[in-house]
Amino acid sequence: MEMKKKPGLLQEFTKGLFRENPILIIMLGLCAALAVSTSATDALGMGAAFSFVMIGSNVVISLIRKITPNQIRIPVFITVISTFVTIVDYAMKAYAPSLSKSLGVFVPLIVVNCIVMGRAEAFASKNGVAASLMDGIGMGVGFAVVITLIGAIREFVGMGTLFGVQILGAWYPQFLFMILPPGAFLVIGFLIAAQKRIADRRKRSAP
Amino acid sequence: MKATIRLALILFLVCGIAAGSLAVVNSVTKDRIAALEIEAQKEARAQVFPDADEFVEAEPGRMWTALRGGVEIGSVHRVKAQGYSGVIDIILGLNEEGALTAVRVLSQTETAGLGAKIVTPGFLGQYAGKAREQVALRKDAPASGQIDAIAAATISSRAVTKAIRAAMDAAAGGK
Repeated sequence: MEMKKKPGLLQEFTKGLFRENPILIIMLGLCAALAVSTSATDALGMGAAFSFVMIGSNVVISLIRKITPNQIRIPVFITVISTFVTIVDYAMKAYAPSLSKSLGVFVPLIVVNCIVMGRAEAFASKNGVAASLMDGIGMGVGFAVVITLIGAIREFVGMGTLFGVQILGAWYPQFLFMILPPGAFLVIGFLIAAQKRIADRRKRSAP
Repeated sequence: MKATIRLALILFLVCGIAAGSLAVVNSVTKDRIAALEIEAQKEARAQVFPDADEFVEAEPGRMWTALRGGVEIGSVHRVKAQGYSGVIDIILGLNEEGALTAVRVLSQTETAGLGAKIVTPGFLGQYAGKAREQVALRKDAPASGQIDAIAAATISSRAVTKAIRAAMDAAAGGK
C-alpha cells in the first residue's frame, strides 16, 4: 500500500470496494465471511450488520482519536466496537427476528472480526472524521458485496436457489459440498484470483 | 502515578458512555424483544396444536394442556435436544391418543444450509400424525421408523427425533 499523496475522500471510499477489499485483499474477517455465506440472504444481512458496526466504530474512534491516550487505545477501541455490535444485535433481535435467528452467534462475533479492529488501528485512529467515515463505508460495502457474492454463488451452486427462490428445477442435484465449509474456501479462492486478474489487466492498460 | 490515574479515568469515561448508550438501546428494545419471544411461543403452540383454542400452562415453560371449548384434547410439550452444534429447542403437540399433531423448532444453531434444515416444513411435516413407535429415523429403526433424516445432517435429524420420542415416551408413561 504505497501512499504518494493524500488520497481524496472518494478514493477512501472506493479503495474498500476493490483495490483494498477487506475480504479479497486485506483478507481479514474471513471467519464471518466463511461461516454465514451459505445463503445470499444471510450474507446480505451479515454485510449490513457489519457495515453499520464498521462505519459507527470508525467515526467514533476517529472523533476521539486526539483524546485517546496511546497506551489504552486498544481497550478503548474494543469498548467502542463492542458497543456498536451490541446495538446491532439488540436492534436485529427486536426488528428483524428471523434474520437474527439465522445469523445466530455471528452477529455478536463481529466484535472479534479483525477487520473492524484493523481499520480502527490502521485508519480511523490516524485520520479525520470525514475520511474515516468514507473508509468505513467503503470497507463495509466492500465486505457486504463480496460476502453476498460468495453467499449467492454457494447457494446457487449448492442448492439451485438464489435468495431462497428456486432458480434451477427439481432436477438439480444439490451440491452440498458448496454449502459445507470447503465450498466457502473454494469460492473465496476463485474470487481472489478473479480480483487479481482484473487488477493486473487494469495495471497493464494504464501504467 | 498521575499518568496512570489519568489513563484509568479516560477508560472509565469511555466505558461509562458505552454502558450508558447500551442502557438506552436496551430500554428501547427489551420490551419488544420479550414481546416477540412470547408471541413466537404463543404462535408455535397454536401451530403445533391447531385444533385447540386455549392452552393452560401445566408445567411452567415445559408443558401446556390443550383445551377446546374447555375440554382437554391433548398437550403441548417443549423439549430441548443436544444437536450437532448446540441446543435445539423443540415444541410439539400430542393428541389424546398420544400421537403427534405437529412439531416446530423454536431455536437452533445447527450448521446453516445443512442441519439448520430441521426447521423446514419438509422435514418437520413428517412428524404430523405419527404414533410413538413410528418416531425414529428409518436408518436407525428400519422396521418401525418413519422419519427420513436430512441428507448430510443425520446428527441433527436424529437429535430432534430422539428428543421428540423421549417426550412422547414420558407423556405416555405418565398416564
